[in-house]
Amino acid sequence: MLAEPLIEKTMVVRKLKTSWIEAGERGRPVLFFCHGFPDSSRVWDHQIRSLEKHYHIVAPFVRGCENSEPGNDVHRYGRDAIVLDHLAILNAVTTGNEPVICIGHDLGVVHAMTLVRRLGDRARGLVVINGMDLEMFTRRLRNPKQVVRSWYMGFMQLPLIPEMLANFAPHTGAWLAKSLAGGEAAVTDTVGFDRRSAAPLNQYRALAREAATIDEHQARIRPHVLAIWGRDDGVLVAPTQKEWDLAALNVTIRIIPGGHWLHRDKGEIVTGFISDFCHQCLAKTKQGEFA
Amino acid sequence: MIDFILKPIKRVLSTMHRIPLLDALSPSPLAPVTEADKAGYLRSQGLAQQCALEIGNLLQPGWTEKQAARSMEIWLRDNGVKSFFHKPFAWWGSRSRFDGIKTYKQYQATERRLLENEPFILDVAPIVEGYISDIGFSGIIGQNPAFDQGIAFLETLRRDIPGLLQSLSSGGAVWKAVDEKLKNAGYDNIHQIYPMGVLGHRIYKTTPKIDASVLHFGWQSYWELASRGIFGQLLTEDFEGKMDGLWAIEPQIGGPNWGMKFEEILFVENGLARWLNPDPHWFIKRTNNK
Repeated sequence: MLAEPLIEKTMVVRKLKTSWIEAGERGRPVLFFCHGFPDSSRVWDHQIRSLEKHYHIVAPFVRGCENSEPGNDVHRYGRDAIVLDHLAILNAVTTGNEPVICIGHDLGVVHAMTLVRRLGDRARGLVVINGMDLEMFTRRLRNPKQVVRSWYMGFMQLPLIPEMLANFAPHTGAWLAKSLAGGEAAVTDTVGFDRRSAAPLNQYRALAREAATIDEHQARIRPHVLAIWGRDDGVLVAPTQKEWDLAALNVTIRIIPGGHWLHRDKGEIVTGFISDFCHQCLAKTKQGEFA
Repeated sequence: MIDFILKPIKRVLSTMHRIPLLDALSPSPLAPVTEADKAGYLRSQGLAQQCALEIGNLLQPGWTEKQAARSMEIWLRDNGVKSFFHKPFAWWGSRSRFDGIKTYKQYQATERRLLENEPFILDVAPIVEGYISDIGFSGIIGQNPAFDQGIAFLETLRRDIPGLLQSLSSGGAVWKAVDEKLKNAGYDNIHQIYPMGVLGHRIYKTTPKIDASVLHFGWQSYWELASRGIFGQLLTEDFEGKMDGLWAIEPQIGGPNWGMKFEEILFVENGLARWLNPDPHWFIKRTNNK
């Protein structure tokens, strides 16, 4: 039997239509899923269907992806603009008091970490899957191995050419992404590098601009962090505890066999990790605050 | 001695708008304001206040001044603002009373993090369809009796200012009356720390939309004020000219480790003053979401 389609919602945020997948009952603790590139919120299908019974799931489509209208300027794809989109969605679907756990993959980790920092005490946890924030990535660029693996980020800075590749040679783009990322699912069936990813690739341009002015010494994340990593990721070198200790106060790292799209390749395992982690984080919440 | 030198200079500069070519480029501050213009200024001010309200409602303890200021700029640009009289400022806690601010650059947003129960100020001046507005917002996340008292004082002051303008002989006298009121209430006068100690400044409609700024201020701010001789444009302690026109009035009070303000457009016509928006929203008070 086919599963029921996930419910997509939209609203206008700062003059642009913005969409997200929503599941589970409102009023429950929120799991906020941020997808990466080239991807869409549907990449979280396994996690959403497994966790919606216990949580309120919100999974936004990043600017330019599916029904989230593209921005008219690169700044609209940057961290500060996207976190405002995410906060607007959260304001629309919650009362403002529910605890939030953010889950991010790939570039979605940049947005999930930014959101956790802006939510203050409301953020109760952060799950990171093969990704990191801009500050960590900038530090990583001192590692030549990572620089070589990240060549495609330089390619994304070229004007028009990445869009042409996405629009007119999607198979080449898909092959490139697959060979880069490793693992079984590699480029997902939810988007892949094609015309649908032409607008969201502006995230790379926006982040490159922001990288020039970042504060490498910003405050460490206080909520507990779970970093899940595919050992065979061809894009990102596996993280170290020392590296994460600079970004967060309390981090657990789990490196398991798998590629870059670990939540697709190893859906059950990753969902299990997320479920246990959320349960632990919320158990620390005052008893009786939530049913 | 300094007054002896400065007064004639100020007098000459204050008549700059009479120079024919300059008058064409920068119309006199005393030129009549049409209903369409008033509506334009209200739109500009309304957008700026909505921005401060929305971003103020997103703030959480831990946000830096830079994050708030950047969020305000993004919000306004996404809502159609192309240029600024001045870009957003955000001041937390003791910085909202300008403690430790010695150079101009130090007014700009820093990495200082917002704490629970400390007042903050958001201040921005966008240009919307050519209309400059300049607004100030005070806020707090949590509880602080000093904040509640400060808001009550500023609300009374806001009610009194139009009357002061009508009853007193000069803008300088208004500046002094406001200074006296806030000192009598036990507050420090923080607006006197602004460059030239201004209680307010004139605002205008500006035409070119080129977006460029120096030290956080749009080129329009330098042009609109300097081309009209600057001194007649700023409501300072010794302002003597006619007050007719549009003003951004920004009294700022301070107590131990905090400052608070409101800023909005005051319209003066034939000596009669009224706030352009009689019922604006200029402060935020909320509890921390835990």
